[in-house]
Amino acid sequence: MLSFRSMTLVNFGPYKGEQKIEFPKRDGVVIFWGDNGRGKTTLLNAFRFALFGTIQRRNNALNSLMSMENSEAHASGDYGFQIILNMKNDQDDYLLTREFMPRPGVHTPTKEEDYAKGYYLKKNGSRLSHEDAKHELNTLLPERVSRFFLFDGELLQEYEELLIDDTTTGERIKNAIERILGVPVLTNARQDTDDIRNTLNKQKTKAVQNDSQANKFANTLNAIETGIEEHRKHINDLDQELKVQYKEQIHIEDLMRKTEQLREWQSEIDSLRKSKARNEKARDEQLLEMRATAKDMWRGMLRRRIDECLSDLRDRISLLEVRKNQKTILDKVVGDIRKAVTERTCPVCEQAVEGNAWEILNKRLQESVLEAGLTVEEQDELLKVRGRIDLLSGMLRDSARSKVRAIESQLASLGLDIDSDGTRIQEYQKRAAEYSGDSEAVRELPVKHLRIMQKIDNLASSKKGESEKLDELRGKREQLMIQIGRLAGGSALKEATRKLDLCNHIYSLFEQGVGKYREKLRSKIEHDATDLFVSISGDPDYTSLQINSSYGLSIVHRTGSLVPGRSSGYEHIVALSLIGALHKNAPMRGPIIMDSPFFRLDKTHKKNIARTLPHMADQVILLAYNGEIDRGVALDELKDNLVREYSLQRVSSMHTHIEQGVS
Amino acid sequence: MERNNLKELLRVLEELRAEQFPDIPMQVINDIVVAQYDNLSEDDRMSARAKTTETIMQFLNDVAAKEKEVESAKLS
Repeated sequence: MLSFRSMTLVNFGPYKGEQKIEFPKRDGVVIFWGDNGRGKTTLLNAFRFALFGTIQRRNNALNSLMSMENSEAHASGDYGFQIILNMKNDQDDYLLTREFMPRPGVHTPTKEEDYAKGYYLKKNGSRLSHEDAKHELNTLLPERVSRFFLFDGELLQEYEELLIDDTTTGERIKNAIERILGVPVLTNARQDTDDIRNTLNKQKTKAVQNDSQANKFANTLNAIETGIEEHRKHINDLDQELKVQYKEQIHIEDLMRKTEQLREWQSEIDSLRKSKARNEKARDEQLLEMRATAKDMWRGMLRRRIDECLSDLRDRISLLEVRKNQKTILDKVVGDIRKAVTERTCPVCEQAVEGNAWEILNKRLQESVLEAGLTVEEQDELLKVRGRIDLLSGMLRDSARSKVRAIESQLASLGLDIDSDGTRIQEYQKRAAEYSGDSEAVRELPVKHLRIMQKIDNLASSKKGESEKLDELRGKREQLMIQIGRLAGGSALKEATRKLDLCNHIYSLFEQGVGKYREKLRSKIEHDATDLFVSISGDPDYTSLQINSSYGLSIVHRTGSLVPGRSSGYEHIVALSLIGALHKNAPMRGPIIMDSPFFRLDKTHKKNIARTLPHMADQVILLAYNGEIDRGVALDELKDNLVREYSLQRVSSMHTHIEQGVS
Repeated sequence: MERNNLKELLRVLEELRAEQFPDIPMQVINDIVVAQYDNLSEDDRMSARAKTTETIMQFLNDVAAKEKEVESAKLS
C-alpha cells in the first residue's frame, strides 16, 4: 500500500525557499489549515506535479507551470521550483524529485520555454533509469486514476456523468474506476490468452495437415485459418488505429478543457467583431442617409421666417373668410327680405307685409346689395393666400430637421456600441495574449474533435463488421474441429489438441472472470458506498445507493424509488461515498488528499464526513480552512485518528510558511 | 510472488477454476494475474504479454511432457 512519508517544496507557489512536511508513519488524518489564498490547492498541485509533472487549476484556467514559481524568489533571482516526495509502497522506499528549472544557458528566464521539466526516482536508495522510473511511477499511481487519490471538492460534480449514458467524461471516469479496481488485469489477460490461442490454433492446423487421418480436412481448415488470420490482422490494425484516435481524442479533450477559457474569449472576440462590423455598416448607411438628407437642411434655416409669414397669412385668410361667411348669412337675410317685398308676405311669420313695413324692407333691400361680400380683388387674394399657405407649409413638412435629429441619435448610439465592442475586443485580446501556445490552433480544436469522433465511429463500425465475419469463421472452425476430434489421430495431433483445449480453458476462465469480478465489485462497491453514504447523510428517507453498469450511484428512497436529481451537496456526499468504497475495494490503494471537501455542505454533514474520513483510506490528507469545518468539530469527530495538524501561515501575500501544529 | 491486494480478484478466479476448469492449476492463473498487474500501463503491455505467454506455454509444455511420459509408461 502506498503512503507518503514527507514532501519538500522549494519555491513552489507561495511556499518560498525550502519547506518540508513530515507525515506520521501511523495511519490517520493529517489536516492542513489555511485561509483562502494561503496555498491549500497549491499543496494539492504539489502532489500532482511531483507524481505526474502536471498542475490543474479550477475553471480550466490556463495551466502554465511558470505561474507556479514563487514570485518573491523569482524577483530575487532564485528561479524555478522543485518538489521532493518521499513514499513507501509495501516494503519499498521511493524518493521522487521533480523540478522545473531554467534551461542550461538561460540566466534570466522570462517565458515558459526558458524552463525545462525533469524528474528522477530512487528506489531503496538506488537511482532508477528513466524507463524504469516511468514504469515504477505508472505502477504506483497511474495518472489516469489520480482523480481518486487527489481531488478537489469543487470538481466532484463530474461524477454525476456516471449516471448519464455515452458521455466521454463518464466513459473516462468509468475506465479509471475499472483501472483502479484491477479489471484491466483480467481483460488484458483474456486478450493475451486469446493471442496464444490463435498461435495454438495454427499449430493444430499444421498437425492436421501432417496427420494421415485428419489431413482430408487440412485444406478447408487452412482456408478458414487464413481467413481468420486476415480478419484478426485487420481487427488488430483497426484496434491500433482506434487506440491512436482515442489517445488523440483524450489529448484534444484535455486541450479543450485547458483552453476552454481561451476559446470562450476567442468566441467572444469573434462575436464582438461581427457585432462591430454590423454596427459599422449601419453607421456607414446612416452617414449616407445623412448626406442625402443634408441637401434639404437649408429649409430648416428659414423655418422661423416661414412660421412668421404663415402666421400673417393665416390671420389674413381668417379675416377674408369671416367676411365671406358674413355674406353667406347676409344673402339669406336679403333673400327673405326680397321674398317679403315681392310676395308682400313675411317668410318667417307668414303675415302680410303692407304699407310702412313694406317701404322699410324695400329700402333695406337696396342698401344690402351695396354692402354684401368680397370684392373680386379680395376673392383673388383669398385664393392666392391659400396657395401661399400650402406652399410654405409644404416647405416646413419637407424640412429635414427631425430626420437629421433621428439620424444623429442613431449615429451616437452606434458610435457608443462600436467603441464598446472595440474596447471589449482589446480586453479579451489582452487576456488571450497570456496564452503562450498557438492560439489559432486552439480555435480549430472543436473541428478537430468532431473529425476524430467521426473517424472513431467509422473505425468502430468497421471493427464490428470484421468481428462478425471473424466469429462466423471461428464457428466454422469449431464445427470442423469437432469432426476432427472424432478421429483417432496421431500423437502430434493429440498433443496440439490438448494444448489448445487447455488454453481455451484458461481463456474461458478469464472471459468469465471479467464478468463475475465486475459483478462482485459492483455489489461490494454498492454495499460499501451505501454504508458510507448512510453514515454521512443522516437522512432516514435515504436508505441506500444503487449502482449502475458505469459505477454511477443513485440514491434510493425508503419507498424503493430512485431519487431523481440531487442537490450539489448530495452530489458531493455520493461522490465521497464512491471514492471511499473504491479505496476499500481496489487492489491499488494509497492515500487520499482532499482539497475543500466540505464547501457545499451544512454543519451536520461536515461533522459526519469528518467522522468518516479515517474509514476512507489509511492515510488521509485534508486541506481546509477553519470555518469550512470547525476545528473543534474536527478534533471531536476524528479523536485519535487526527495524527497531525499543520497551519499555512501568511508571511506576505506571496509567501506562506508551513508550520506544524495550530497556534 | 504474492499480492495481498489482488486477493479478491484471485478469489473470483479460483471459484471459477475449481468449479469449471480444475485442470488449470491456480499457480498458473496467479502468475498471469501478477504479470498483468505489474505491467498495467500501456507502455508495459508487451512485457505483460510476454510473461503471460511464457507462463502459459511453460504450463502447456509441462502437461504435454507429463502426458507423454504416462503414455510411454503405459506402452512399456
